[in-house]
Amino acid sequence: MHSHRLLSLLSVLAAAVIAAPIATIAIKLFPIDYAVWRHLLDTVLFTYLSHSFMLGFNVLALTSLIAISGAWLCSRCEFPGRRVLEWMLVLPLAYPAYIIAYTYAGMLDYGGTWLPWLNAIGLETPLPVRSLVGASILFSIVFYPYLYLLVRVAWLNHSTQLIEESRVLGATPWQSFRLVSLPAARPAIAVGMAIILMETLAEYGGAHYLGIPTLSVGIFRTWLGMNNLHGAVQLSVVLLFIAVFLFLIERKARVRARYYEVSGGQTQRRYRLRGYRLPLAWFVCFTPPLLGFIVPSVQLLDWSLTAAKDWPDYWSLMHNSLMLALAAALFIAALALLLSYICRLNAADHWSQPFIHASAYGYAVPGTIVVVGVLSLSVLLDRQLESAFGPETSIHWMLSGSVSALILAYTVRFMTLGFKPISACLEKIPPAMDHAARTLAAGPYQTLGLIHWPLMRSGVLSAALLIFVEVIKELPMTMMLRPFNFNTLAVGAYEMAQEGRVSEAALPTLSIVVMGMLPLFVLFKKTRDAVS
Amino acid sequence: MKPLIEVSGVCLALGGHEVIHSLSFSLARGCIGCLLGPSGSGKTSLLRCLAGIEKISRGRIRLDGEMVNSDGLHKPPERRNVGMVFQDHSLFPHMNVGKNLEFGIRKKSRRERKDKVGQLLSMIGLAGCEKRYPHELSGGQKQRVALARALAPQPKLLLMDEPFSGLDGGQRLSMAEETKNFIHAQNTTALMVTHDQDEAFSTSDFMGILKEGRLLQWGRPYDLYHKPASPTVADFIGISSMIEGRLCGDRMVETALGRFAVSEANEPLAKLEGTVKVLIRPDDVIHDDASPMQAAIKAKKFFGAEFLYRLQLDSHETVYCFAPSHHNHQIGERIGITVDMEHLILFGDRENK
Repeated sequence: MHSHRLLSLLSVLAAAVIAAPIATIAIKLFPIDYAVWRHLLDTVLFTYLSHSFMLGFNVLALTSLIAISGAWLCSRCEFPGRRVLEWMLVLPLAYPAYIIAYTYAGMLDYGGTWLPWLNAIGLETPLPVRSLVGASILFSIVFYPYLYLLVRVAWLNHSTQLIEESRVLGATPWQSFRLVSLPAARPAIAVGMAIILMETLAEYGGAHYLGIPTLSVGIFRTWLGMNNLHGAVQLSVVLLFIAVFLFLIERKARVRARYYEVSGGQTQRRYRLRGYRLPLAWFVCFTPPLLGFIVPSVQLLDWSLTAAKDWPDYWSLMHNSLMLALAAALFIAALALLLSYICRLNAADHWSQPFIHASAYGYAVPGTIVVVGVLSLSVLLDRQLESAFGPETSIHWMLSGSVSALILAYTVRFMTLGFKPISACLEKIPPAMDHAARTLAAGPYQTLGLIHWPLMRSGVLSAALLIFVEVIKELPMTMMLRPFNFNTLAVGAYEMAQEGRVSEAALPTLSIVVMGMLPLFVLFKKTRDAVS
Repeated sequence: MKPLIEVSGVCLALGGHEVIHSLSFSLARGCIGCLLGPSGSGKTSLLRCLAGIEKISRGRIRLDGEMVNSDGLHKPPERRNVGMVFQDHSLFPHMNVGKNLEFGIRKKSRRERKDKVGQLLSMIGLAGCEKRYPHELSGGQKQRVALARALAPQPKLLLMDEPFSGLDGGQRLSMAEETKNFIHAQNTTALMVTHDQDEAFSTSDFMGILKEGRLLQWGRPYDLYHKPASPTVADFIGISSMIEGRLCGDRMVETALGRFAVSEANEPLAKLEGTVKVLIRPDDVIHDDASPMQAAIKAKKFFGAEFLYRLQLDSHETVYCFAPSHHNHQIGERIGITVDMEHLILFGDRENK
């Protein structure tokens, strides 16, 4: 195909800009500052690491229990209400962890709305929400759907014949589960657990609110509390290292998961549940969405209806959130479309492709690190400019505290959400279709407009929707990089909650949750289509 | 008159691997050319070079006298005025038949487009099908629409990549015949690629044999069959076998099937002595119960009107013979044969290609 040198160069440039914040952190590590490291080792590093790992371990244990039992019941068993519960189990995905944290704190902590009821059943003190155990439970009831979805699909795709075979060979249902079904879902479980661990370690808002000193919290504490950006960078490197490690595990498991898939055309035969098993199944499948969705939603709705509201403020939060998310979603989706199209045009020459693909892995990088990266980058550029053109020049105003810095941060982190599905859409269109259009006198851009766009419109729009919702829900990057006095729903609600005005935060919070539910419909339909 | 396609010394490298090696040929205006070769021989890649989809690494391509590829020059496909029919037809799935046909003439006025679409549809026997979508068409109908779509902008050259491969046996040959008529009716020039000899023989005016990215021979189908340039070409087209011959120095060759005179085409070999290979086609060997020369039947294949016998000569060499189907002999039986060689094809012993 025609080689587009200028475009290739542009795409590499775009990829470089996306990679720059992370690259800056890596560069800033050197020369290794032993004094800073010694200080970190002597003081906080162990606390941060141990809390991160304890939290991660607890969350993994709890989510596995919830997700695997739920997935088994919904994919392998049949009982009244299964179809509804199967769907409800996904709902907590609409709740960001920081929202679940302050909502439950508002109910159960000192001054919480549920205290009278707790007293009524004999509990004199509030529940320890702000503790490692509390955080583990709260994170688990919103993170388990990642694992649930993957395992459920793995079992839906898993051949029933193998299970029947094991039964014929004399295995009890329980043995058959342990020896056949569980091993078949093992790669999917590994992928899900890696994702959950990444999310747990990357979570800033929830951990900060509940006062758990994890690594993510520590990075901001070092930077803001101790005004030590250099130390924050060093801590970021530690977190980045763990994130990359988890990311590699996830990638590897994903490859194996594909290999384990048995395309079974046969009809699913499920275990029919009767007797005492039935209420047990209901309990197992209903409790997680009850705690992770229904209870907080009802509480937030109640607060929204009763608490005093500052309407003008709410509308301005809503306006800012929508504009920001819309701008980011359109920008990232358009960039992703352009980059994946350039990959397609240059299918023959490989040199620009690794750059583009590398730029799409930012999702593995925690938001806190992106913040530190963007800030370090702007400081670095400032120094370069200052030494080149004198002290008056500064790029600082361009990057820190401006919408462009925010969009850059979103792009680093959410590019994956745009690039992956959009290039998958594009790959579904056979290259011969392009060639047909080209030989019928349509140039590359006309081909994109007349052939590709109509065929992939819905795919691009659903990718943009996903990015939109992620930006609405996003907290640490928005909070740290937003322009002065620019509040969004997420930041506004979080700050109100921190000031102890949880009930006032309810309306913006509920708005985030409602928007967060949008992609769930798309997602659930997609997994259902993929299976049937 | 200048030829419409002039390809000289074209090389193509894909992924660091050369798939076409210094290939040259030309095709006159109004003719149908056909490239025949096994899969992986580079024939589709060559078509893609002509269309401008692939960028050649060396050589020149001239279309209708205009240079479209030479050192540093690569005209993109949209500016070549070349039509192409793809193997899987590649109809745009989101457009109906009418819109598909209009795509290449979208800059023309509405009136002109409508007329052209109507005219093309009646030509391919699908009048009134404008509103149907590609997924509602049968394989043969898709093929016709793809052909009409490629012809709509009146390209100076039409390229067809295995256009009939998706069709079944009977449909394939009638579609090939039909296509040939469309192309001649449109007065355009066409180059197609196939791995099917019958298709190539029934459609083409000129034919080329491609193997491993090299053009072994380019010429009229009759010449390729009767005057193959190498044993490989002979082997690729039709059924044939080679038997050993001894040159006697007196312009005669002695073989297990008798003595034959060396023809003019083989003049350079005539004066030599030693062994050569003699090409024997099934139509050279005639079954005759009365003939004293006999051969043993090793295998047979029934074609309805004829049997194809694989025969073993007393020299243990193999030849093939077509016999009318009422001559039904059993495997192992010895039957009488005579030889009727119109022109003798010899290859030097060391020639492998």
